[in-house]
Amino acid sequence: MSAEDPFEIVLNPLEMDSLSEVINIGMSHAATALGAMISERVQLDVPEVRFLTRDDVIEQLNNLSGGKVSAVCQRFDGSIGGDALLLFPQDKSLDLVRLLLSSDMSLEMLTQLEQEALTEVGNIILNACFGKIANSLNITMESTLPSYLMGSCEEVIGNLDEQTRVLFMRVDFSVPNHDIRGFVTFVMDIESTEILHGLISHLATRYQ
Amino acid sequence: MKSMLIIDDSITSRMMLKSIVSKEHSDWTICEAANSEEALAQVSQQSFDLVTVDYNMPGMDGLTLIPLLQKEMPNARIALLTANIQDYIQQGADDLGVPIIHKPITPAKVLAYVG
Repeated sequence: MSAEDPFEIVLNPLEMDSLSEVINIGMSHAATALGAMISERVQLDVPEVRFLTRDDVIEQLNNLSGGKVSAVCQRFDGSIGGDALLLFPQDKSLDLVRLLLSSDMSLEMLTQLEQEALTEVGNIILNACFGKIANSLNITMESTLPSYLMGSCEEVIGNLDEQTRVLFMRVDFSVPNHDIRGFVTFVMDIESTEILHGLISHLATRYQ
Repeated sequence: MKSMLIIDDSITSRMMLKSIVSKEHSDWTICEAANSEEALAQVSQQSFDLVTVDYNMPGMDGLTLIPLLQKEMPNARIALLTANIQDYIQQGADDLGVPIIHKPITPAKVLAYVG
């Protein structure tokens, strides 16, 4: 994002810290949910929280995922609105389904259920994360039914308006002995981004 | 022997819930519905002892469906199943007098409800 960008979101260090904390709480809840689903300990790292342009997000995701992703998209609407996306590198998604479903299930059955199972995983993770964030900000956000997308990062993200800002949360889920990683993004329009900025600003100053 | 109806649009969720209950109660009759319309069609034909209702489904959502089920089966034990942990969902369930089982489901959570 250039310095001249009229849509640039500038958070001061305290606001950025507050935003990161709210997201950390949300993602910790999501990691606990994922751990319960697969009966494994899930390690969580949120190394990056940034507002990015559409093109920056595509570049980031390409670098992190190797190009092809499986994604679960869910719309959240309320005081702030946006499209939440949970993205997995495509070559790892079947590993996650295998952990989730019965180990004695045939590969054919696993493959048949892959999209359906990932959609339910996405539903649970995104609701755990954004539900907790909504509660932390004292707002309400209703979610739509989740949908499954698959393809290149450009195909999954590329139809966004250029003026859209994306709250990019890079979340590394790691499961011991399984190289499973995920990324969560929240795509908002400018109006919602400004409202979020106001909510975070209020939260940041409440304890000063 | 009891009868149970699982209402959830996710095949995975229905499969996991059915597996947990069947392992503990192999003699129970467990039926499934993928949406509210299917569920209402089933309860018009037979009554159930236990019902789990997913919140987020195509068409009618779980909190809208539950009063209709309660009217049809006043003695059934009904629980709302949801991944949504927001306060307004909890309030909606409280208003209807039904417990929430939060997704992801685990054997402990399910068996605490079904017994």
